[in-house]
Amino acid sequence: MIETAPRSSLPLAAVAAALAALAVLPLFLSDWIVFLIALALAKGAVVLGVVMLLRGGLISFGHALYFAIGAYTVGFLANRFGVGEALVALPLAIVISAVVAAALGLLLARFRGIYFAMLSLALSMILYTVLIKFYDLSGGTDGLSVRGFALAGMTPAHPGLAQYYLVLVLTAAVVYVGGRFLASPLGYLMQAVRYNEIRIEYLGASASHAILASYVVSGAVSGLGGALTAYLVGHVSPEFAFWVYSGDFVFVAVLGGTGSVFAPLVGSVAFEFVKNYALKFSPHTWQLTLGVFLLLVIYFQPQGLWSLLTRWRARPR
Amino acid sequence: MMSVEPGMGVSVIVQAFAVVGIGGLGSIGGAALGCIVVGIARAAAVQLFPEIELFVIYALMVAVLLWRPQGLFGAIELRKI
Repeated sequence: MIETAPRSSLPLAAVAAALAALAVLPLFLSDWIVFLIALALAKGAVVLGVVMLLRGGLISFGHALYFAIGAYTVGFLANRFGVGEALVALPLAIVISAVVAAALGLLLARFRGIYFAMLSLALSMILYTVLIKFYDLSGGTDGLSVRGFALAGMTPAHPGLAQYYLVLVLTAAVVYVGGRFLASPLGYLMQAVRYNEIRIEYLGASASHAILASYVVSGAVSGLGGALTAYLVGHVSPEFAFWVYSGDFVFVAVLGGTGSVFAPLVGSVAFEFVKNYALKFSPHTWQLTLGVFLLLVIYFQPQGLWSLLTRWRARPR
Repeated sequence: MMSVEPGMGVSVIVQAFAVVGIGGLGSIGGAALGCIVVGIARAAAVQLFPEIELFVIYALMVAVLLWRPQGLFGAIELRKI
């Protein structure tokens, strides 16, 4: 298989410029916007997980499962064991998510289309009900508060800022890993899964293997996104595993588009900002504003917000 | 008996999803049977094991899909080359 870079990959200079812009942003913007961007990037990592599967034509309607696993790993460590160290909790969140994804992926790789969506939904709802019912363990509907954030043994004087840079570095890493994965033969195989699975088998590759591998990577990335969100928000609750969260992730994936590893982040930032400004300017009708925005994007940009950029680049000059 | 409120669809839609998953897509009889199975299972769980009341619908759906990936009465789709 010939390895080529994904067509929609950005020039390195543009990526570096965007990263630099994000890095100096806290100097100019107020704390709440910085928090919002960090939250959007952390959730964007989960959306990237959804997009990895969408490229194979598989809609995971249960990615809140890994979001919640990551978040509750951080919550348990901080709340029950008094370990707020991010360098311990984050790798653990990734490993646990990946292990769960590997176990469930063996099962899910047999399913396609709507059944894949329904089964993943059911699995995340099972976690949701377990989190609610086992009050002694998980704090029930109260959730767990995440205290004592520490990074490399130090307690930052300005935790919000430290978390912002942590999120920024890790999201960049996730995007890099995601891009490498999608550009690998296995990543290309996922696109083939969407079009014709039997031909893949005739070519001597395994569709189930590709789906399983993608699912594990996707779960690990989503777990990291959930863990980062837990630190940012400072509280984890069973709603993290609820299907409305899964629905949001799928929605943001569609909003951003599946054409690039950057698209989920763009979609996620746009989603969080529109939601917040809608709340600010029309507190009683913010759902209406958000809904109209999403409808307009889907109507005029069915390929997602990312296609605005690629179309602009493809324009003859 | 339910009260009418703007968010009432939310509580029904996921259960409807589970019913269709259990009964099988495209099968009206399957949906009818799925409704009865889900309703009885939920009611029985509330009565007998209240801890797993919410859990039981999804566990049932997972069990059925593992046993019959296309649901109880769903048609098996032939894959085209």
